[in-house]
Amino acid sequence: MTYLLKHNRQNNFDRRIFKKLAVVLPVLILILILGFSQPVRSTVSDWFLPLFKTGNYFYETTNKISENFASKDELMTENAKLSNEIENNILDMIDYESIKYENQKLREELKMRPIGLNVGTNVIARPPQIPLDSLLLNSGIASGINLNNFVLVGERTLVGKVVEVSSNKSTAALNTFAGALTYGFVARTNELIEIKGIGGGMEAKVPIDFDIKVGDKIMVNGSSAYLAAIVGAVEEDRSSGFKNILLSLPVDISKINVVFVELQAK
Amino acid sequence: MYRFLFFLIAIIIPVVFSWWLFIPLALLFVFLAKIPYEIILIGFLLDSVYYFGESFWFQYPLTIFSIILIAVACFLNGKINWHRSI
Repeated sequence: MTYLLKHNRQNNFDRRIFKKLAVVLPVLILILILGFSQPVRSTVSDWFLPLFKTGNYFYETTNKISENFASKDELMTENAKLSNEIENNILDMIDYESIKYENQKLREELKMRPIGLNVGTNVIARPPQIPLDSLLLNSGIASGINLNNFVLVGERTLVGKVVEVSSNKSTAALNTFAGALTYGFVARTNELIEIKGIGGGMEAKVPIDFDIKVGDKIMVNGSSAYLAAIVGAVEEDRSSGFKNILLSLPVDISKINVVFVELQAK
Repeated sequence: MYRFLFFLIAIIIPVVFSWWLFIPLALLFVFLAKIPYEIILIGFLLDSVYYFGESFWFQYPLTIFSIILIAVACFLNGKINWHRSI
């Protein structure tokens, strides 16, 4: 690479800078004004929708490439294992349906509030396509979604909250999003705990005598109690008198295509 | 023409593959084209669909990066000539 040093007179340089600023500054001001405008965000998301879907399809396909190279024996073993899992799942589903019905009846008898209304939505994009610990969802204000609505996987697993919403799209920040705070309780002891997202995981700092162990479930109260995190490691720091708890989401986000958004604002 | 094509590529590739690809593409764009103001617009469009955080700096990180990049390019343009292909 060749660099040539160019000597310019100071006045010309100042004039050029001034001319450039005269072009750039109005553009920047316009961009900032438009940045606060909700329709602009909505329109841009709509334009990019096919691109996001293409990227999502690309990552789903590339993740499955390794599966095509498995040996025949491995495939037969996996097939037998999956058949067993299907049988077990059918039995679990029958149990679940009966428990769900019982739960509904008990709620009616005890006059407890019903489980919140949810809207199902597709995940359009996820990391690494978009920033870490966020999900782009295919529903927005038009479907009744509002800021801070809970984002659920299944009926009982809370993974995050809606942080940006436009007419037809919304963005959810997972509980693991850096700086995101979640207030919940330990399912085993009912002790309250504050967990903080650290990007890719969560952490909590509790007094050293706090009763918590690996595998404990952290629940969050919504229209019902949701599972929000699972304790993965407990590190005692005797010098400071605190325990550092490391937690993870209960589900693997890379395998989820549909989430539910609880419509009541929390 | 090539400049417009690169503008489209700089929008499409980060959206399809990964948002951070905008940063190397913006650097490449500055290397290839003479003061590509377009990247500010691309940065703004990408900031409109991604969520990085709540504060102003986290709402417009790519726009701010583009503005700084263009400012540095403007400053260096008067002092250094680098190869331009498009």
